[in-house]
Amino acid sequence: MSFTVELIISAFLILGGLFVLVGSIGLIRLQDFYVRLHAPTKATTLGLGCVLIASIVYMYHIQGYASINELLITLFLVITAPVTAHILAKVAMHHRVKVMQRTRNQHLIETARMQLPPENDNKKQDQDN
Amino acid sequence: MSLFWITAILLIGVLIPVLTERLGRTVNTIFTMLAPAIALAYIISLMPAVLAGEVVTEYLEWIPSIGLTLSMRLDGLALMFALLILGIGLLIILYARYYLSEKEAVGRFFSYLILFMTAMLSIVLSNNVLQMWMAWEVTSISSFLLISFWSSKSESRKGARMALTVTGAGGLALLAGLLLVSDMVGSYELSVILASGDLIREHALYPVALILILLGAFTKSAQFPFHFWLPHAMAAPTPVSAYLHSATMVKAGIFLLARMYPVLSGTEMWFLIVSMTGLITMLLGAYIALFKHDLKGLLAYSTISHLGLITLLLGLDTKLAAVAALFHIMNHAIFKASLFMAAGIIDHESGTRDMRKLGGLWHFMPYTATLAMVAAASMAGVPLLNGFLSKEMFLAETLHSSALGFISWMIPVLATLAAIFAVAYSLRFIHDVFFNGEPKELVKTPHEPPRYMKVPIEILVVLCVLIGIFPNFMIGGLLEAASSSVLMSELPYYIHEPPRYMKVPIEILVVLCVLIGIFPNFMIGGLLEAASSSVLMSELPYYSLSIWHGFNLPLLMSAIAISGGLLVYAYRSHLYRFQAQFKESDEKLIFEGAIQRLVASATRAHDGLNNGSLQRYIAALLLLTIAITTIPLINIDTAATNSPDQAVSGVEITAAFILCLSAIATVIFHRKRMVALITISVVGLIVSIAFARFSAPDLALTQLSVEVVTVILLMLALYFLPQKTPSESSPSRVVRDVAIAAALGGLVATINYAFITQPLDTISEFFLANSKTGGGGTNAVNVILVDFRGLDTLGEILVLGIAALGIFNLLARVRLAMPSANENGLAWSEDRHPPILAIISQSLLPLALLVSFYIFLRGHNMPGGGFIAGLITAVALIQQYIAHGVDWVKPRIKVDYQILIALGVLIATLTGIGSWFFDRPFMTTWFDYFDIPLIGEIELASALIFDLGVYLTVIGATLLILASLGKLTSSHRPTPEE
Repeated sequence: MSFTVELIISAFLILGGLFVLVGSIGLIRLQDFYVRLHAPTKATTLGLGCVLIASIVYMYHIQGYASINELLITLFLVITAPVTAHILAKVAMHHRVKVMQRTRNQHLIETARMQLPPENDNKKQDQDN
Repeated sequence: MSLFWITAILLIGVLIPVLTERLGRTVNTIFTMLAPAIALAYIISLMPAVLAGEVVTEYLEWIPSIGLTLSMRLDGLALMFALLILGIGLLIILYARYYLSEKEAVGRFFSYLILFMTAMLSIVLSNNVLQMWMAWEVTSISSFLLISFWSSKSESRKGARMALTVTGAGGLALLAGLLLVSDMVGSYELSVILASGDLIREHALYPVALILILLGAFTKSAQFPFHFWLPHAMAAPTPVSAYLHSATMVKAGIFLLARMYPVLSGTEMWFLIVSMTGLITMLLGAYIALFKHDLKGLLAYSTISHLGLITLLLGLDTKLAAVAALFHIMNHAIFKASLFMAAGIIDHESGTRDMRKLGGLWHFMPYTATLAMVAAASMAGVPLLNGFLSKEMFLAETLHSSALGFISWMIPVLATLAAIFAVAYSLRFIHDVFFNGEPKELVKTPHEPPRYMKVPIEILVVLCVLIGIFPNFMIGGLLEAASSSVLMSELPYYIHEPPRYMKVPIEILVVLCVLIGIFPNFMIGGLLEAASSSVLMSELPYYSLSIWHGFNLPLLMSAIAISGGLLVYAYRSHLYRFQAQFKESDEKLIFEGAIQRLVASATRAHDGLNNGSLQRYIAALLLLTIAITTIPLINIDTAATNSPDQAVSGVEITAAFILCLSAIATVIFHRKRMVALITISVVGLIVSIAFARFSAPDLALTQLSVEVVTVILLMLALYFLPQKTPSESSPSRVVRDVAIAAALGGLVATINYAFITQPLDTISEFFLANSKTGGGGTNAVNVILVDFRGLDTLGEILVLGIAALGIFNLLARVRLAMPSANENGLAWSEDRHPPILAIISQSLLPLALLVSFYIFLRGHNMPGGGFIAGLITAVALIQQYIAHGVDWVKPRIKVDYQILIALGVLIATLTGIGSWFFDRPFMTTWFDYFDIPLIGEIELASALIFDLGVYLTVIGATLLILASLGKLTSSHRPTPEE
């Protein structure tokens, strides 16, 4: 294995490790549920992406052709992580999970919870059912 | 032709009556008689050889590897019984044709009868004790069908159930006894067992085996104290009674005694038990028979008495006694069958069997009366008839017996007493029915008959014999004139001679009685000799079958018996008065009571165990597991322990730590169900990772998919359960549960430790070495599943399918309360199916299916296979249910999961069967390599098709369960109207 290849693989692995670490720290340090949601969905997904790229390079070097498995895994990851985050956020809103003080546009939480458009309070009664 | 053909032909004969029923009764009867007639002809063709002393045996290999062979044996004993069964059976069929009315299901009746005949023949012809036992049980079942033929009558059903229960229970004892005996000699073959009598008699377990076998024989042949079922079996149609209680059923017990005689007899225990049982039964039966007002009841108890007599003979310690027993078996079959048939005719023509109502029938049916009289005289043991001859031998043998040591003198005295009663009840049978005044519609108080009435009997008994020999010459014309000249007005029924052919069976039997009585040697000498020698298995003692042995003690005893019987009958009113003091007890009620008590106590025991508490079930199950596993663990030799040689890294320790932590968390949070579910799913996840870490990718994949499905299933189930779990365990229960859990956990840990440290020979080397060469795949796990242990897999998917269908049926009509809010009173979200989730899930579906297809295809060589692929497909489809709801999915996935399960099992089975067409054993895998342009070399294996079956079944089963549970939350849930 040439030095260049090793360097590329190592770089991606370290980068990936860093992202995952940041994500994990964020999971502990961040203030409320909604903010904490960003850590695993964004940082960790990125970290895993880096690891997968490293894997692609490594497997290409060994087998001589690019493996589709890692790409598929990435695809799954990219599709599922946002949806999971979305559903989790919806559940949190439904349960009225507390938000931290600094959250902006707090007055919109309730309308979002009721799945109503942000302004236009006149139509509220029409859509209430 | 072979002996096996007899059974085969008769089995075909079982179907014939039903098939030919519409052709009319006569044709039906003729066709029914065909099979027994062929069998009888074949048996007769073998007769010369058997009479010459040959034993015909035949074998048919069945499962030779565990010593199971079908084998047949025709020796003298079997020949005698076969002739009785088939001969009397044919007569019974002819008789039944006239006995049963047009309206009854004659075809079904004949089928049962032939089935019973087949079973009886199989008992006497089998050379393998297991085979014999099997046939024994079939006689119990088919006799149940026959006795309960008039199933609309309560007494028929009760009588049949009683007979089945008693003989069935005896059959179980017999099985145990036969297994013990077979274990002693190391073979199920009767020829081997019969040859090792000494070995068995000296074995320590001989008493146990003897008692078990005797239990079987005594229950079947209605010996005291199991005699009570026989009279109640009289609820059967008379042809059945005539057959079951003369030549078959009850004689099966006697046959067993005779069959096992060379092996089991010869010990003190045998003589004591068998002779005492026989003696008591004989006396009891003879005594009670006298007081029965029902014709068939009288005959039933006389049958019990005669069976006791035969048993007593087999229990006496002389060889001649065994000869006499066989002789009496034949004679009893002949005269008892004709008596039952005569009773049936009386019942048929007069409408009642109550001897208090009957009387004077001689005027109406003189010919039948004559026949009945000869037969009854034979039963009573009147000279010149066959019954006399065997009874004479019996009395002679009782004199020579020393079975009871110093009190052996009692045997001949009691035997004479029984004979006196036999004469008395025979006399009653004839006198009360055919003479004794006019038929009465109402029950009158019994009174002493006029003196003159008895004179004709005494004359007639003598006349009977002569008429028996030359019936037509003697009284033919007279009879015709007498019957046609009779006119009756008082009778409720018009009593007339039965149809001509209905009498034929009785005529034949009566003629046989007379002929055997007068020319015993010529008629049955050879047969008796052959049968006796196969029972005794040694030199026959000298015996003579002539009528006249000179004036001797047995003759005196016979004379005493006959005159005593006359006296007893003459003064029977005194006996009746005495008997009337006893409260009449109905065995049927006692038996029902006993059965009900048994059921009640069984229910109590069952309710104690099965009280609906799931905790208790699990506790019992776990305690049993602890008990079972502790013993082998204690026996493990600690000295041979190797130290574990596997290095442990930090990752593994961390994972193990998380595993323990989440398990403990599950227990702590078990009352918050959602939290507990999450923590327990962590356990599953760690286990999957452990599988992957320790090179079991197939297991890891399976565990992961199963975990997903399980969690979804649990969430669905939790949805319907109460949201809050109250704390309901008492402290003592907590202690109990913790103790059980700790003990089991410790044991499992010990087992794991033992696996790591104990020297172990596994068969995994074989699988690894042969999976490529033998099964054509490099993934040994998959090759084991679809090839090496393919049959197991087939069974498993079958069980899976059945379980899914069971759950489907359980849920089909269930209605559960749907909670409208969670435990904190928060209503469910209005947004049931968020669009983002729905759209993404839908677009993920093809991708997921692609993955499952890939995993399915590569399964043979790489981690994967039908099972995992099936689970992945199932999860992908469940995702649609979650994202869109049942209402959306139902019209879009138009696959019937039940059909999918059936299809999967069918494909797997057919793949297995397919190998038969290439002369290979079931489930042999075929594989080969093909070179396809562009794709390259690929392997095709028939195991792939098998795996397809697994795949389909898994999908069908998983989705059927989840969809039925999920349906309960939707508008498709069952409504009260359904």
